[in-house]
Amino acid sequence: MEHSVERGSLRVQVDALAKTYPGHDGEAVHAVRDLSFECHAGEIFGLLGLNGAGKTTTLRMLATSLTPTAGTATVAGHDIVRESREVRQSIGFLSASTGLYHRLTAAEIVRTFGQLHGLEGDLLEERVRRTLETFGIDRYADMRCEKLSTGMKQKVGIARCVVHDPPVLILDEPTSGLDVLAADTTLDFVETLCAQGRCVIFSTHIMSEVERLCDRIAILHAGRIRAVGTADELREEFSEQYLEKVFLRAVSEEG
Amino acid sequence: MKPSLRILLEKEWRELRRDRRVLIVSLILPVLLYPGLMGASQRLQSRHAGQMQERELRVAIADSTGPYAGVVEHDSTLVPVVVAADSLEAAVRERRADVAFARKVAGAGGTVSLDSIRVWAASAREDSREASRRLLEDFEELRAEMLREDLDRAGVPSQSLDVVVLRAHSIATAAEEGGAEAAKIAIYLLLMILYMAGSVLATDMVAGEKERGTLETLFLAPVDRSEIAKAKVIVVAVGTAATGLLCLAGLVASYHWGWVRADDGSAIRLGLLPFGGLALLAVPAGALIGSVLLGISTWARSLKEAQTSMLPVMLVLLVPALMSMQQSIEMSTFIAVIPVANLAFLMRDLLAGHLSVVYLLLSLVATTIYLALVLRKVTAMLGREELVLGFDHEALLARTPSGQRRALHLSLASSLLIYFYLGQWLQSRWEVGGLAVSLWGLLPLFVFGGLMLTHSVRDWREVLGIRLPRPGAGLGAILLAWGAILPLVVGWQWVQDRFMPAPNLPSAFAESLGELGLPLAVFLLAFSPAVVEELLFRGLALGVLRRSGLPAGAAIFGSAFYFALMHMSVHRFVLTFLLGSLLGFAAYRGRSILVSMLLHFTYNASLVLGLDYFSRHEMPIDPRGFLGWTLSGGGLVAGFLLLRREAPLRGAARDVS
Repeated sequence: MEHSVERGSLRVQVDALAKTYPGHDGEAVHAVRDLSFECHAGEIFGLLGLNGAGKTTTLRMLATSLTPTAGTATVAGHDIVRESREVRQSIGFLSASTGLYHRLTAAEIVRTFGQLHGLEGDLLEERVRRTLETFGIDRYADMRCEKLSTGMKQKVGIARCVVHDPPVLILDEPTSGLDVLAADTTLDFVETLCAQGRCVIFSTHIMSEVERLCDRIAILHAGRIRAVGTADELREEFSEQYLEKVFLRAVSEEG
Repeated sequence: MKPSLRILLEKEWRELRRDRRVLIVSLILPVLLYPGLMGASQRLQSRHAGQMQERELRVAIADSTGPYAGVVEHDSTLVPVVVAADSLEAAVRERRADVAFARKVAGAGGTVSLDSIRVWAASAREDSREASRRLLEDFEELRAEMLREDLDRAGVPSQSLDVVVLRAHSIATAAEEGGAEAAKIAIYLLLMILYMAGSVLATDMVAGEKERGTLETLFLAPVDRSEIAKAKVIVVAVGTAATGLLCLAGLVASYHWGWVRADDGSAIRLGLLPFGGLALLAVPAGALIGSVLLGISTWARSLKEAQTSMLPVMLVLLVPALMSMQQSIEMSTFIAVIPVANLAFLMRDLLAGHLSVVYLLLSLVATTIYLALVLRKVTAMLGREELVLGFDHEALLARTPSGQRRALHLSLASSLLIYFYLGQWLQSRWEVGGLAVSLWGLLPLFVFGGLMLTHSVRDWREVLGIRLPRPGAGLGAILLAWGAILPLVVGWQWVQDRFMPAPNLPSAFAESLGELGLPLAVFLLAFSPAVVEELLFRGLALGVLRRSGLPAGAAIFGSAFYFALMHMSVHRFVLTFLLGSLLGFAAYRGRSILVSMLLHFTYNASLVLGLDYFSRHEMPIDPRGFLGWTLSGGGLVAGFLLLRREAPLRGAARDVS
């Protein structure tokens, strides 16, 4: 899809990033190898891959919850290893599990994460109120999350990760497990956030979401990028009409 | 306090106070349920005791007109049952009577003929014990009466029997007596409550957060992980300690209002100072237990794994809890540096009114050091990505070495708990039969369960190490057993005398041997444990630990730890741990469980036969001479050398994943 906002300044730069885990048998397991890409303000960059392709590991490295074993990356100008705290200040991270505290209310969660990101006083209260209103959850603000529907929980999750107005959003399969309506609402929000000039890195294995949202796509398989470009560029490169076919060929070819 | 720490503490506190499990474990259990249950059970007991007092009990006699039949007739609480003279014992055994007695004349051929009364009672049955007590009391009265009559006939005033009048005066205050009474249950209850509260708080705050995916969310906030760790540690430690305080408050209230009373029915008075001191000591105890449990919760990859991994902590806590209940074990420098046990002993001494300031300071310093070490470890663990994110979704008891190891620990820990309670129950019901059933029924069942849990049923011979050993290994085992007896028994006595004085156990053991009879004693105390305990500890535990990749030493000590724990005896822990290590060494070097079985049998059988010989010949058990030590040393060295010649089994630690 085409966004009205022009591609802006560089927000995420990934250079030869790799992550290796020790396996049970003593051999190294390469979750991600030699990964390089970049993403700009106002752009949605999609990571497309099967389960176990390395999408979540890549996003967790960018979010600093995992440390890369090789390569470098910067988020909002900060190195993910040396300036991890600044990186975490600059991102909003959301996964399918939402990561919500079920015994806290929507307002308490959004307020707590606003506080942890350094907001306080009137500014904090104003941001909490505005964020809850934006996502239509102000009516449920004082309800404990355990009582909310799955779609509402996802909205609270998004509100939680944007309350501090981060320039970069990292979304790890945010529609996984949601019904059609809730997934559509989530995707609407992602478009809105991108239109506001945020850089969005979005992982999924659903083709329709990629077609609808992503400006550029990287197809990941066995920890490596098999192809990267806009949807049209990928169709042309693989001489296929449908993106699904492109994906299947990319992941089936020997790398 | 840093603002981020304050925010995290607020968040944790808000979550916890809305958790029903926390409310139940931290508030309802200690404040209402336990005091209520204790009070109710005490009332039930006293009601039962009252009913027993009023109950008529049956006494089997051979002749209702015999010289002593009147004893029964004069006691309205006893009913005579006439049976054949040769079936008095059978009458009690078959429950046709609660107790039986018969007269036999001794001293035949002499000028003086003394009457001897033999009483048969089944000491495992409460009604029989009570009947026996009443009967013996009645005979005691009869004897005193007969003596008075004899003295009167001889013209001697009967008052002259009371040469010395004894009157005991207790100098303990009511608070000290109340404290000593409270110590019987308060410390045990407090430690168990601390464990329960700590486990609920710790599992929810880390393992639970990992499972719900909220820990990662928290770690993505721009705060240091050490701040997050600090907040969690503070909440768990404070929450656990607060639960301990509530437990104490519940206990004091139940004493104050008389819900719980002393064994003799009197009210328990607890002074304000001991209670305050106890409350102060509950804080470091709660903090340490809570922090250790938090470390386990951080290490575990799921809520379930955390809960099962915490079971051994409860077993370990039972040791100081039981130790502190024994007044005969005195506080010492050694105990003052044992975590939790030091605080438990301080609590007991405080309640009894004789707290040592030196031991108090030493214990607090030691606890502070342990706490600092645990906190450091927990903080470091919370920084490890594989522990926090749990990306390794290996199933809890999967067919991997670590999965097998976890399954083994789980099966051993739960087996010990079940064995302890079920075994106790069986033995209280059937005595010798119960012991045999718990050895031959329960333990093999646990071995099978352990094999199932560790997915080792197919390879059971290989895992248990059932293979024919070389003759040299067998000889080595026998020599090791004989060599080990003297150092282990003397060392055991030394540890006991120095750190935890208790009754002379070899003498008590020798007494119980007499009751069993030698062949049965050898079967039950030597042959049975040698077979079934070896199957469980040197077979299953050592086998699975080795196959899970643990080094031989760690696997041997691990199996020895469970072996020592299973004996559920404070006094014998060190002895059984050392013996377990020796048995593990023999099984490992001898390449067969039959070697450790032989060692175990030789050791136990030698002890049984030796004690029987010493007690029959009324010889003092003190074989600490030059010859004894030389023979022991020679046996140990020869045994070690013979076993060292055996090559340990290659590939015992192979990867089975």
